[in-house]
Amino acid sequence: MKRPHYLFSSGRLRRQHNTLCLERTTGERLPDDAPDDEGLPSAEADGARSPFPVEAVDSLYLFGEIDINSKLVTFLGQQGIPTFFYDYYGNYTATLFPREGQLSGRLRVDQARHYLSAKRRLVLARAFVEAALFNIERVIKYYQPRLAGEKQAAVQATLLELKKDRDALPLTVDIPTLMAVEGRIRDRYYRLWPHFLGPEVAARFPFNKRERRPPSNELNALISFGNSLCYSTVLRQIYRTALDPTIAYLHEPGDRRFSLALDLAEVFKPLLVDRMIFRLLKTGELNPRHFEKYLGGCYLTEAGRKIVVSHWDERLSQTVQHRTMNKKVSYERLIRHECYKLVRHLCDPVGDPYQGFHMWW
Amino acid sequence: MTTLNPRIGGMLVGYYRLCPRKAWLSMRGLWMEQESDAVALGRLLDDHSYSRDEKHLSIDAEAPDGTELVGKIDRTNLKNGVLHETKKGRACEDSHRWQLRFYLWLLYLNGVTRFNGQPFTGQIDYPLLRRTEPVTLDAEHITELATTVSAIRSIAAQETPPPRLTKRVFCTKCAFEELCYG
Ligand code: SF4
Repeated sequence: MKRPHYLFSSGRLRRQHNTLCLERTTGERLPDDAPDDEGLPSAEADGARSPFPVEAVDSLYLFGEIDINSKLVTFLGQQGIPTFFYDYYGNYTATLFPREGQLSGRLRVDQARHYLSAKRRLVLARAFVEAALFNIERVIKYYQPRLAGEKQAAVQATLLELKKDRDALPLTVDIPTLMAVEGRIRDRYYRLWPHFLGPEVAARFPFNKRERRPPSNELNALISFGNSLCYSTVLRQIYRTALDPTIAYLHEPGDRRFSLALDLAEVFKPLLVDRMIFRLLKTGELNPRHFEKYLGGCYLTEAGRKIVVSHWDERLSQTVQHRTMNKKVSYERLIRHECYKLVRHLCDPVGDPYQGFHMWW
Repeated sequence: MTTLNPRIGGMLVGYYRLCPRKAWLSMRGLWMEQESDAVALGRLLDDHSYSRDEKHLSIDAEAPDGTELVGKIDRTNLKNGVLHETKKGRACEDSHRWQLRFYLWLLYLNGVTRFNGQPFTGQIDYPLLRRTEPVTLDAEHITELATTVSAIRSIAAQETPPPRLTKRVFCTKCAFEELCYG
């Protein structure tokens, strides 16, 4: 069974016959903004080697400082292994993608056509926001029964407001308005987070509003890191289909990012990222010690990242009973299905319109 | 806009006999990712089962309606006049048969016969089941193949995919299941 591999150590990753091998270094990774004229590795190899079989690798996540060479790049390309790079602070920085595996010229044309037509684009963009909203409401309703008094009232009020936002969705006439509705939905939702987290956790992890670049506090750091994991997970699923990750509908295509992954990630963030965050904070698996402040921003420490990543990986392999296929599928597979649903819509928007994933449990 | 004159191969004919939607999807380049162990096993069987015979004979022809036909035949035994097709299991037997008949038809259209003037015959090999099944081509099959090829040609021109099969039994074994129902 292929799984993503997450490498936190630094060193040199190389091909060794038909396996991958990490030759570790002992030194700490230096911040990427530390003075560096030579671009040489921060530390010498210490002789420790960890080989691992390439057949088990679905994708690679490099959180350490890793040296690679073109032979490795070729090897990863042949094996169809996408590789995601993170900087010192845990920000996603780059992807190394194997030369395109799946190609369908016709599907790409359809993808572009749906982008170019304002009407068709709006239909898809709305569907992403609608599904994100549905899943947000699902998360809210999950925590609602545990709340009382003022908090319960706040939740009720928010649910009413969200219902208004839902009613506003069909009336949105362009992408900026839709984006505004989306932003409003998230704002309302985030304001409930202290209630979901409970007074103790909320006191340790104060949260006013979402701030991204750089994340202003622990919770923002956690959301950013979780969202970037979600983004790369969606991306590696898109990559297994014939979809072009640069052509998107809710987000503007192609500027800097594979925007289609951002579109689809919206739908899954409530289930995968947000619930993971509540879980990790409420159980105390993550605490303020797992964060540090740099250059006016707040980031997870390496230990913190390890906790999040291992939880993330476990979460992705959790399964649910699929409603139409009569078998169990993992959360990760649900993301693939989402890509397929989009493919179906692009082929036949009338007969098989896309409806975003709705948590059904 | 779509390819109105696709080159049609044996696998596509087999797909079409099973499910027109499957044929349409694969003509669109919407191949399902080759990731399952079953597929890997299939490839292994193909590579190693009969290494001493002549393999992968390519042949093309033109159908009566002008469609270009192409065939890549698994394995031939020219001396005995037998085309072989290796398959893993008998799940889609009928489609296997049509695939092989399609290759026999290509030979027929090219006027290729055995040394003694008799037509080639076919044999499906199921090495895992240790079984073989003979396949022949008769006049009715030839008519049927011509109709099938025309039908594939017309669905290739369709903007939207043919509907899903109403009988789900096939679908649960189909590589496209998640694309259709996910
Ligand atoms: S899953 Fe069913 S409907 Fe879809 S292509 Fe396969 S056989 Fe046809």
